[in-house]
Amino acid sequence: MSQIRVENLSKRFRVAERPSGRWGSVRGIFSRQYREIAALDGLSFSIEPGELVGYVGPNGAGKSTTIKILSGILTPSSGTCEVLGLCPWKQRRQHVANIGAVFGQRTQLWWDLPVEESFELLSDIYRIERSRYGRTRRALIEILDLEDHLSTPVRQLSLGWRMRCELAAALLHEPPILFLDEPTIGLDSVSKLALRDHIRRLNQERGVTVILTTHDMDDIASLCSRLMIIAEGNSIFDGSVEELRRSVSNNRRLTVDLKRATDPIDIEGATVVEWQSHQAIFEYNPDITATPELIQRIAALLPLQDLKVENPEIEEIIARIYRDKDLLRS
Amino acid sequence: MRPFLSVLGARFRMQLQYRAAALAGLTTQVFFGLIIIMIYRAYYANATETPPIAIEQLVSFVWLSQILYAMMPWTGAPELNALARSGDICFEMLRPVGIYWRWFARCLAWKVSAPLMRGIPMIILAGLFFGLGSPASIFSGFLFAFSLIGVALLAASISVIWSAVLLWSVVGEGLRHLSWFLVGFFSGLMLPLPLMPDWLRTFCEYLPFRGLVDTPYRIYIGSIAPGESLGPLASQFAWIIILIFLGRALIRLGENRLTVQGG
Repeated sequence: MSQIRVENLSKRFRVAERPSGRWGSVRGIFSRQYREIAALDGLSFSIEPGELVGYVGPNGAGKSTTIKILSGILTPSSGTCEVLGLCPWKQRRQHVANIGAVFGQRTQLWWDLPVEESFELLSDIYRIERSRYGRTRRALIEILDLEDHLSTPVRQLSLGWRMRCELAAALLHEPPILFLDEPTIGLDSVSKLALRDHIRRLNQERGVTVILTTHDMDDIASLCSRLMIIAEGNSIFDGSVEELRRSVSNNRRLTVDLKRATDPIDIEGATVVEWQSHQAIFEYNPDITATPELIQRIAALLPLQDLKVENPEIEEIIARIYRDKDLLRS
Repeated sequence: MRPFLSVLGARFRMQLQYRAAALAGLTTQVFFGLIIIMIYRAYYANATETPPIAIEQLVSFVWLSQILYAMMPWTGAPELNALARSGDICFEMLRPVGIYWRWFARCLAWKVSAPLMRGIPMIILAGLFFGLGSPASIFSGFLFAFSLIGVALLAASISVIWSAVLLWSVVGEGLRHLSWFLVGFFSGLMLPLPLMPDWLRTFCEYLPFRGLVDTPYRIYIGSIAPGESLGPLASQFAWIIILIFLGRALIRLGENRLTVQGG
């Protein structure tokens, strides 16, 4: 049975609009005009236990709104949603014991107190039994490698360490579901890689279902078995990264380094994307032109130094989808 | 109870980290106390009729008000104001226990810890050097201590209300001006109630703010005799209960509003 089931979810916000112009702000005091915007517009999906789902979309697409509704702190305008059999906004108190959340730009730790004290506090707020708390705490400290930072006040932690502590804080009550809203935002490469590794371990070793929103496509490519793309309040793609690649474009890129400057020439079965004096980039469809065949053709015509074949960057594919939302529908 | 006590303890330990701020506060307050006493002495020296309270009692008032100053619910607990502004408030709603008592615990710890750090040294200083008299009687002293518990609870219940209002308006500036006036004036902190005209004093005695300063102060100096203190103390605690209900209702409303309109 699905752990999370979302059906036809919509959320409309009323936004106060101030008349523009010199007297606009004055008139705004007396008569407010409201405009309705739809943050979510009939969104449906379901998630199975143990999945690690990447949830992406351009700014304002409705990602945060979805997460807020799933965590019970926002009531949708219409639609239904069930998380472990509970309706998040109607049964919020019971529901929130089942979920953990990390919001990259917010903190749930007490700024002025050592990390450890925030953990203690959470264990009391969730009324976690002492022996169980001790076990979970030890396991999390081990997985996240936190031992040396427990007695540091949160305000003195670097962002990378703070995010790890946030992860631990979100999991102390052993929720089966974890929401991560841009957890890698602002992290340096080392911290980012470490955090990804931790998220993967938590998912695999503790079986936590993870929903991750991010703008960093490397997060998605390296972590997520499933990718959901949302735009204008609706899901436009739901599948694996490979499927996404295939559904947008199957093309690969062949980059050729040349021994000496050469003028552009046409190669059968490939198109030139870029040509600099010592480097040429071709795009081709491997279903039509087999890779070895293409390489042979090129080697016969050009003075090869080196070459490499790549899939287009996931980042680029997503950017193309954001720009042209009909790309997937066709 | 476990979440409540835990939050109370954590907030208390948090406050204990601000030792430098406490020392700075103490110095400022001693300085202001001395100046205010000089002003009152000048008034009393030129008084044409006998004032309703003696100058010694007034000096005690000045020091007690300086001690109570840090307990006054001028605003909600600072970190709660920041929560509303930054949006971290969403985490408050992500917990399996209600917001009210967690916030009450924070405000209470804040309102108790600050005066402990500044108040105790000030009592010693003022008692030894600056003319703070002893309580009118041992019994008055005992009732005064009891009324201080009331002050802390009353201040916490008012503080939570200021925090709850921030669930509607992110900018607490307007509210702060209002609260300074309500708390500072109607409690008798700026001017002791016995020095006010009768009609104003009666009016103030019907308000909850009186329990913040006037009640403990007058019990201390004996202007309310131990036998008469039941009424004022009862009203202090009645207001605590009323304001707790009011605060809970406000927070529930604010929470509903947030879940509909978004944080």
